[in-house]
Amino acid sequence: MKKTPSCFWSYGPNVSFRRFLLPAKIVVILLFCSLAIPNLATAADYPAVEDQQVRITGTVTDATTGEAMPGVNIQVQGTSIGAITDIDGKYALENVDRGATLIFTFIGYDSQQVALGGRVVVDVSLVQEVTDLDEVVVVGYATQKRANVVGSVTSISGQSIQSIPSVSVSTAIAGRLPGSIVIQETGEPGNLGARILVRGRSTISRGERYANTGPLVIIDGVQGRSMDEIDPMDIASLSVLKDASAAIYGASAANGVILITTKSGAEGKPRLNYQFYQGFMTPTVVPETTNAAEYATMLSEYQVYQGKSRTYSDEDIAHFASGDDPWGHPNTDWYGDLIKNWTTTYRHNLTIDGGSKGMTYYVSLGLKGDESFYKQSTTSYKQYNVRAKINLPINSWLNTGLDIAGFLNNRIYPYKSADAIVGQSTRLLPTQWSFWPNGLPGPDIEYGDNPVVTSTFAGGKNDQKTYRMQSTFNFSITPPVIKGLAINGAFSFDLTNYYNKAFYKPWTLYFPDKNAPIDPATGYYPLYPSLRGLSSPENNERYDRTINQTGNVNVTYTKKFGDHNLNIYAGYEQYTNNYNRLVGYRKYYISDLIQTMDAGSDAEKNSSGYATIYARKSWIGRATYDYKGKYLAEILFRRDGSLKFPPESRWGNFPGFLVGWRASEEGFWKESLPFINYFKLRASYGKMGMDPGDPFQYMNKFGLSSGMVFGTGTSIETTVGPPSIANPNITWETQTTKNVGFDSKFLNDLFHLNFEYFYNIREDILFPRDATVPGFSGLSLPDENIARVDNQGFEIELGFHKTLGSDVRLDLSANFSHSRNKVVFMDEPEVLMPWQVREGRPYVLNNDNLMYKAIGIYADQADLDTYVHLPNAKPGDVIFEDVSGDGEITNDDRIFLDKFDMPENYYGITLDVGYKAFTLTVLVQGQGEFWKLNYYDNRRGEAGNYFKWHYDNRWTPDNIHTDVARAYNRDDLYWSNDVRRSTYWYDNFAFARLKNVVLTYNVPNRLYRSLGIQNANVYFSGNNLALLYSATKTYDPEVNNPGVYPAMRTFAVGANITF
Amino acid sequence: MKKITRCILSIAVLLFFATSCTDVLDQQAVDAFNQDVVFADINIVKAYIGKCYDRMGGNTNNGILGMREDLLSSATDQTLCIHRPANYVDLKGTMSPDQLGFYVNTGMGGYLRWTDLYANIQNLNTVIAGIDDVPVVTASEETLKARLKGEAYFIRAFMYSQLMFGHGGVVINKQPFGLQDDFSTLVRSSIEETKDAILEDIDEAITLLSGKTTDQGRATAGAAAALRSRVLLFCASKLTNGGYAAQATNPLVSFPAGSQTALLQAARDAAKGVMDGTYGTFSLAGSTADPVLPLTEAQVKSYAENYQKIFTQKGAWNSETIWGIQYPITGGNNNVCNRWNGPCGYHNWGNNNPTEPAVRSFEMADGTEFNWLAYNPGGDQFTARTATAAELAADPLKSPFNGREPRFYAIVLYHGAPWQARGDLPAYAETGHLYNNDGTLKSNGTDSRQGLIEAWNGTKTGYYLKKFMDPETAGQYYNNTNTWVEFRYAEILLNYAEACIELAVLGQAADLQNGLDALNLVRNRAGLPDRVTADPLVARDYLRHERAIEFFGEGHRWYDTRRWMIRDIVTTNVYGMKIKQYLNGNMEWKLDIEDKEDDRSWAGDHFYWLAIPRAEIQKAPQTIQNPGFN
Repeated sequence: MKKTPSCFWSYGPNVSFRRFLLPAKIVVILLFCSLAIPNLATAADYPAVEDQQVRITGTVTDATTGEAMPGVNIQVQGTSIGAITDIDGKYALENVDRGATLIFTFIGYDSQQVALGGRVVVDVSLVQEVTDLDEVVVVGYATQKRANVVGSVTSISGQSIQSIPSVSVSTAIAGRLPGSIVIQETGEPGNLGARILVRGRSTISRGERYANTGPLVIIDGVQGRSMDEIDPMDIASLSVLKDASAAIYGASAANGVILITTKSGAEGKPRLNYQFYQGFMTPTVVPETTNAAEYATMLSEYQVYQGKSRTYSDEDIAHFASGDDPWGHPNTDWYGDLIKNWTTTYRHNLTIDGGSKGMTYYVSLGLKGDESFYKQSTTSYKQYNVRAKINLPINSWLNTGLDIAGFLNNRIYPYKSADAIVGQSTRLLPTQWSFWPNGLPGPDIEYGDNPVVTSTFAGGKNDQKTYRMQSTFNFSITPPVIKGLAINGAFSFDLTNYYNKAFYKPWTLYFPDKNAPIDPATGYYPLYPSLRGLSSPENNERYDRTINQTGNVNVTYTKKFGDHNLNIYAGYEQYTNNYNRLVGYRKYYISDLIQTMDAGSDAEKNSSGYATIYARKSWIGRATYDYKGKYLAEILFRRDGSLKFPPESRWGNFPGFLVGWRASEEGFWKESLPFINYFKLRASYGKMGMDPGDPFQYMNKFGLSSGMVFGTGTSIETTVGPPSIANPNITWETQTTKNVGFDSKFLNDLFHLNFEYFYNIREDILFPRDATVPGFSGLSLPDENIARVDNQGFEIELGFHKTLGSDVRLDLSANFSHSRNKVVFMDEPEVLMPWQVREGRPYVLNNDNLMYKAIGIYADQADLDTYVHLPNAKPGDVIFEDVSGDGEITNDDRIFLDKFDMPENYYGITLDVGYKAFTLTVLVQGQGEFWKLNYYDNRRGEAGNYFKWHYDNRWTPDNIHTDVARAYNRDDLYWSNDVRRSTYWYDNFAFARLKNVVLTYNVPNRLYRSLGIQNANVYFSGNNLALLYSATKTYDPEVNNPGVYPAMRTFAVGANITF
Repeated sequence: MKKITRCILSIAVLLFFATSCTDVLDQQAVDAFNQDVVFADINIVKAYIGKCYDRMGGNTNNGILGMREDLLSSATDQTLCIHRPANYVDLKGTMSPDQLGFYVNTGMGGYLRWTDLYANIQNLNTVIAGIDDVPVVTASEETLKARLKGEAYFIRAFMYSQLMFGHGGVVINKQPFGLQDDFSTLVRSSIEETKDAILEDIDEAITLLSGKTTDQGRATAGAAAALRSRVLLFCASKLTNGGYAAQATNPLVSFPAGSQTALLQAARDAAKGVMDGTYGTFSLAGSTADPVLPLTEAQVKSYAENYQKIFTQKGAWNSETIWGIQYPITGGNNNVCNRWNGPCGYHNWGNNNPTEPAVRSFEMADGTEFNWLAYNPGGDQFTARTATAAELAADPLKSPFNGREPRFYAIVLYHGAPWQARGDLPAYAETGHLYNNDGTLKSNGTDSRQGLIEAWNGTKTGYYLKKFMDPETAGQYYNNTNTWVEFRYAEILLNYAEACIELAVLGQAADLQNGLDALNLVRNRAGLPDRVTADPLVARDYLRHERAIEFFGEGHRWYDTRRWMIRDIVTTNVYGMKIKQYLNGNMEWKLDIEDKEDDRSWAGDHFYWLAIPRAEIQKAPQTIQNPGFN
């Protein structure tokens, strides 16, 4: 075997071994740091300290202006010794311990702690405190001070999410950004990116609820970079553009834009920072299924009721219940046998930055990972990342920069998907054996699906590696002749190589040999092994390569005329994306020791490939103007051309207009409304686009497809077609966005209140006319610019900030977002039933759009006689309402789900408390009414276990007044989800959860200063900690259905150390 | 000054960078051809027609033509689909324009799907309209072009015939549509016009394909002629000729009064043309000599194997196969018929179980009718048959599964029927249960619904369908590569026989014996003696019985029971056969009235035609619905 290189990102067994050790080691070291070292240090220092009291002098200056600062307060930490600077900024302190720490404080400036470290002269420059109005907000192609932002832009700093134990950024921002809905649909390692909806859904989507709803994500100005891979420690800030401010991203901006900016180095001596956490995860909600006796009871009920023969006798049920016959009558808890209670997640990050004379550097190394909760933690996700960002000024007018980031991701899965492992665990029969009483693995339900085995590597493994290199070179020319003018450019080359090796092999399950004599040792049949899953080892290898290139050149001009400020940006950008795939397949491997492609047999080998292209060209412009920071205006413009559309309709123009008025700066306001110390009124109007769907729909496209066998051999001839029909007029979707809002602060910043109202009109939505073009046309319909959806809503953000003395700081803020869409036009046939018309209703997606309205369960024959019913209905079945009132249940009675299949209301409440060295941050997050299927696969009954919620309240002759139907089998009954879709299977998944808690302790620096450590803190944090409220408790309200990998609750301990 | 020069230089470089790139927006699709490219190269047209074959039958995702997970046969009295029984809406009495289940289902095994059939017609219209302009140079390319056009005509005729068989007269269009076309004036043609449109395409296909050799699996003149025989027989039947009394004058579903004789003659002649060798040489596989009765066990086995091999053939087809579809072992469309239909104890999915009445309808080996009550006169179908080991030794026929005609052993896996080896477990279908001599249960059958392996896929009727399963394929792991035989010579013979016998029923007595002769060829090949009768109505019963058995599971039964309008009689509930095998060899076979596995009911004559899907009528309100549906 090849020796595993010991470089940082190798994937050898050594590393995976270290993966377990490293976090543990760090915890030990940390404890050592915080407890043992201080004790040692103080013990060693005491005698020296007694002898070495000295006089300390120095000067305090303003870091920006360099001017001396009088009146600065200096305190020796932990003592009553103190002083104030004189008019020249000078101070002197007597009898100070050599090892003491000085604290410099001045109103409006950040306080500073300085360890003497033996010095007697300590000069300090204080940095002006940045209020949130001075906070720099990243907007499209620019940054603005918060006070000057006129668009609807929310942002958070990277720091506020860095302690959240979640490997992906998208999940960590849930509840923190008003107007951004975050839904985490699965908890599977490697698949943790959450779905983000900015201001809900302004479109109609095909097939999938959230198709074409995601915001555009731009990282350091480049599209196509993943916000779930970026190391949270590298993030300086994250902004969300929600209104016309996104118009500068033109044709991709209609769903909102998320901008992430990574950190840069700061001038100064090299600074090293290390942060880590080690987390422990457990599922939030495990969907409960029936036990063996319950299952057998329920199935028998169904069989007897239907006149079928019973699978289990009363005697069997008694054995299942008593557990007296584990060989013949097991009672298996599949989920329990599959999972362990706790699994792990971790993250480590090391950064070094510094620089001088304008040359700065920032280097970051990161490692993060997640492991599955299967007993053998087969599924795992691990990422190594590195980033180097260098700013290289060449001379006074030319500055250059280089930013290179690398990501190595490794996702490992067993042969079976999470669906076939976790989902099937809810389906496997409790009357089957996960393991036989002697420990051998039991039989499958089909496909070799015995989750306790298929969750291991017994069936081989699927190893997915992504190698990503992102590089940007940029420059800025500031010609000395024209003050305020800059010419800037950036070129990014992002290369992703994806390599997937899936080597699978048959696995062994044990079946009873019922024809052999009973084994006297067990009193049951002897077992025989059987290979399941595959006939022989097989290998699937896939290489994908994606190249994204972005080039941008622009000119910026800044000019101040008296109180007038003008900023202009004009640029050109080009983006291309090329994707290629190559797949090879062989089977009949002699052994799984050699897994290369050539070791497989020639028989049945196969290969395939695929490619896509995309390109966009853009002209971009922005002009901002303000007068005294009081009257603000901004004009945005983008002209985009897309490869997807024909030359005539390829280009679209997308303007944005934004105005703001900082009314609180007006004299009259200061006089009459002094308690509102800050008030800014904002309004915006813009047009944005979207270009979803397949490219080249303007041509009759004949794709390649699976082949046919002709001739007497077995070779396959590639086939071409069927063609899609051309739409020569295809073009952009457009969205008109209007927004008004205000930002305000009351009582000298004690409270703040921000409010936004928006109205989006999405027109020319690309959708096929498949509801009105007859099937006999035979056309494979292209997208057409036909539909229109309006979406409106509001966001409120409310906060309270209070500092009590120097020790207690309190921040409480809450945000609430609401959005509701309405279909104004979409392709729909003429129908007579008004309840089947979609126009005018909120857009709700379900597979065939219409469903019966379930209004209860027939309690008894009297109910059957009362209600109109389908011919085969019996007591215990679901009552469908005769909506049309025509005396029979027909498809005319189907309605649109009159509920929201997307959260319309979404909120977060954050509490941030500081007490001395402790900081506690608590986030409660939730969503309002949200309807979705409370259902996972139809194979229940003879072919699968029942959910406990169904068992507990089901209709039986003894329990006739209930809202849960009788026992059923697969899709045998008329109300089955696969036969007649109805509201019966839909439930409200509103919830409120304790999302995150972070408790941080700043370890006093006297304990570690002798180690050269500047600052250290330790923290305990948690994610998805508790469901405070959940309208439906059968499974986690955020995940897709009870069969997916459940959401995880995480507890973590971490530390952050700066040298 | 120097600085300024440098600045200007830099800007110039930048502008060069911005403008000199080739236009990235002007690119060709990398994953698809456009129409001009396809029709510039005859080889791409060939690949394109390959896709049209793929779409015959309308479901590229799950088997094509008749071989799919849920068989068309399960829409008849022959088999029961255990996976999605509720989808067979015409058997369940639940069909409506909104509820077409199996006949529109986009999931597993949907059949006769309106939109998919039309989608392929659009594909074929496109190629037929464009192929003449495809440039060709060599003579062989010219021949290929003509042949491909003929193939396209054949497939289009096949698509329209499927539509007609399901719905009657349909919208006929032979030009490619565009997005901006007006569809609001297109209406359904009468069934007669539909038939004519189909026959016109068939004639074109025959003209273009006659005398040309082609790769096996592509259309031939023989295939087109066989389709003509099938189409004409359908049109000549009771259903479309006034049998449907209430709608006898509805041109969408009925031919003009008085057409039937001419249609029958045309059907007879169409079949005769194939029999005469006009479109290629075909013959029944195996011997058609009169069998010497009684058959030995080995002879029964030999006849059975000969018959079964028609459905398990791989490589070059035998002389009986006129046309079929072949399946690859990997890639392309996967046919996993062994997995779909095989016993659960083999880790297969046990679908499409033969029903008890269908199993009983197989004759005895000597050509006499099987009689369940042979040993229990006066009972009914639920009366148990029992036999002690000694009785069985003395009279093997006490077992209902002994002494049956050879095709029974090729088609049905019954309790005890040999099947693939599987380690220590029995190498036969074990659908019955083992009992101790004291009457207590010893163990449930490995392939029963109470077995220990994937019991939920166990048979509901007590039988599995063996016919299409390849004994050499381990269904749990492998795809099937045996051909689905869509047209075979036996169908031509029985089409001919039916046309002749029906003509005799209508008074053309001279045709009767021709019909019986063709029928007897099929019987003799199966190891059965001749049918002899002078009564056309008796001959009709013989013919109908023979079609049921000979084409068991192939789907013809769905068309036949509709054509003959006997679905009201044959649609009955399905019960499970319970078999007890005692350790001492005693046996009990009992159809269990306590075990009703499928509720079926016949809703009335209007169910003889499929409804036009509601969605289609909403999209094209000018479309007239089939009678009896709103």
